[in-house]
Amino acid sequence: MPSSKTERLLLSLFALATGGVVLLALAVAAAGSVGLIGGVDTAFTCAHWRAILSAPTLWLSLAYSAAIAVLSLLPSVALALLIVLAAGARLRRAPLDALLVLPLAFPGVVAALVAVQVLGGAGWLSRFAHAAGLVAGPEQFPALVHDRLGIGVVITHSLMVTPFFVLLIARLSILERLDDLAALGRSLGATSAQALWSIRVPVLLRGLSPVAAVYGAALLASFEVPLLIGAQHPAMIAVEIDRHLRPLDLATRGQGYAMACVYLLLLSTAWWWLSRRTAKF
Amino acid sequence: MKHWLAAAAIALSSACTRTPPPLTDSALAAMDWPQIEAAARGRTVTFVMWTGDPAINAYIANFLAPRLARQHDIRLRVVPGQADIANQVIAERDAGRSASSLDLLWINGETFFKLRQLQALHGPFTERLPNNRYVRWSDPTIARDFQQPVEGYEMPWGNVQLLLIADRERVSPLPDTPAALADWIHAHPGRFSFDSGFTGLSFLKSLMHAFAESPEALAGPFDEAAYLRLRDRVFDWLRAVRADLWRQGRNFPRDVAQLHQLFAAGEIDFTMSFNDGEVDNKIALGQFPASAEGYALSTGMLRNSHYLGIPAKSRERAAAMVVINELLSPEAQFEKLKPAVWGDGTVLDVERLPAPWPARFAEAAARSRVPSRAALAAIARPEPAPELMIRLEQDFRHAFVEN
Repeated sequence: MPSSKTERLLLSLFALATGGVVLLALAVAAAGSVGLIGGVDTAFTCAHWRAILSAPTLWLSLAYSAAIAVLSLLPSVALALLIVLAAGARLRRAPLDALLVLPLAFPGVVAALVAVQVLGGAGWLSRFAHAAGLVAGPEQFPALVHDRLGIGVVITHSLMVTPFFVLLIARLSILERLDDLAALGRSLGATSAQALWSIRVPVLLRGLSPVAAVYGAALLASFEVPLLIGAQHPAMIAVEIDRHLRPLDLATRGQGYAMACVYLLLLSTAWWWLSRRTAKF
Repeated sequence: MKHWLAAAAIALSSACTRTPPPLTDSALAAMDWPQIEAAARGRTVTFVMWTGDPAINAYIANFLAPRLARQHDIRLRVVPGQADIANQVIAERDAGRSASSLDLLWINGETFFKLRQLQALHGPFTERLPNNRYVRWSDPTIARDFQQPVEGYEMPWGNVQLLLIADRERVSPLPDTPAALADWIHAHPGRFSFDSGFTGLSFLKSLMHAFAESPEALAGPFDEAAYLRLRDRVFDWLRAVRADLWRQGRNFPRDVAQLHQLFAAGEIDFTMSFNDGEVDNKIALGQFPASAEGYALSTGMLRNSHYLGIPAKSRERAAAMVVINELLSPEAQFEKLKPAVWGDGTVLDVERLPAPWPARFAEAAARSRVPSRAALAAIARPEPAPELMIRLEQDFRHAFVEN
């Protein structure tokens, strides 16, 4: 058992490595956003804040990122639930157990490149559609990558996320002894549907919520996939911040820092609000 | 406070920086070339370059680095990040660092403009290099970088021209005027695009030249009235063809690599390149179809140079000068001119080189899928001032990417 002194030290190091990094990033972004660092000249100015708060780009990007994150997350969780409930213990047998882990090894860059090969205008789906006589050429195939609706980004995210949730839900089912609980419910007169909707699903969702929230935040800040297969406009927030931090006109670079500030503050506020709700729950 | 913040921000990138004894500007200025070469021995030069082309990376790793090690005992350390040079220089400045972690920079127009704004380049140094005597300084596309006089603060490395690249199995005849290109686009909806990055904007600048009253319309410092007049003509042309562009002109490839990818996959019939030797190179590497062919609009296409610069705060300024001199040697320039190696145009006046170099350069310059450099030179147009690029990027984004 670690002593209380060691425990305090470890906790302090953890806080420094997590909260400290965020606070440092926020401080750097704040300094850059008012022109104190990062520009050609270093003089205090509010021009960058005025520019990003008055233009629709930041708000559109935030809303778009939230929509993509939710659209990527919800179907993934639903599909994972369906797979676990349908397959049950078979998921723990070869080769399904290995196949489930495989997509988790793919970095975002690789997943995005695979998405281009499969979903692109000259990709496999398009070629199948052409062979089947459905389209005359790539230009007639619907835009599934580099599209403003973010279809390719959502599909790629979902394929990357679903295996993770399958593994998580399968593990939760064992830890929460859901089979036993459902059997108990049925012995007390519950139907199979009632055991599913009143026992299994609520227990799983309660266990999943914190992880899903964290994964949602990670998807919100997704960079590689939307950069490689997303549209240029609207763009997800990390891509938009990156673009503003590398402007042709160095004088506008502070706008990127201001955007990063807004994003960090919003995310921190959401995290604080969610932690309070979770604590109450 | 701001120094502390910036120092923390770049702490990771600077953690491994060596600290050789500094060479003062006055000491460097007092050295003759053999002394500079002697001071360069045993040093490591950190070279920031674009690493997006395996052929160029191979040229640096397989030709240049061993040559530097063998002849000058210099170790070359390549780091990617050409697009971030100005940002990194700013971070180092804000951190109050007395020495830069970078020693050699691959730059051109816009980066040169930014670095000069930041007063971050060492110089003038070009006239101190022995191989400077062979540089084709009489060529305005070499002596001026985006209308900015070089003034000894960067050394030309390669000279290239913007070309359209078409798949000849699907495009015949080649549309060589804006009007003919518009007709082709209308007749082949969804098969033409350009990127919204450097190369695509260069295509738009070439169209500005095409719609200009004279080849000198964009010469000299940035002229707001001329810019607006020519921008509107180009945007009118774009609006007329927009519906028939790839993705109905509602989305554009982010950069030329994405444009190449669409072309190589057969999704579009055109791509473009700001290296007139790239077509032969990409065909040789199997990345473009053998039917790809490069050509220029008869109304003119941009020609520019890429350069090598040295950060003012580099501790390895002497070694960087030796590396640059080596990159200007006939051997190094000849090697990268070969289409199978890189296909990058030379900045040397080959006629002034000793035999047998003139004949060797003439032979290596032969290309099969692109007009000769002499033919392209006749319709070469100079880069406008860098401010035009900044304005065009903003206006194009507002008018076409975001609407």
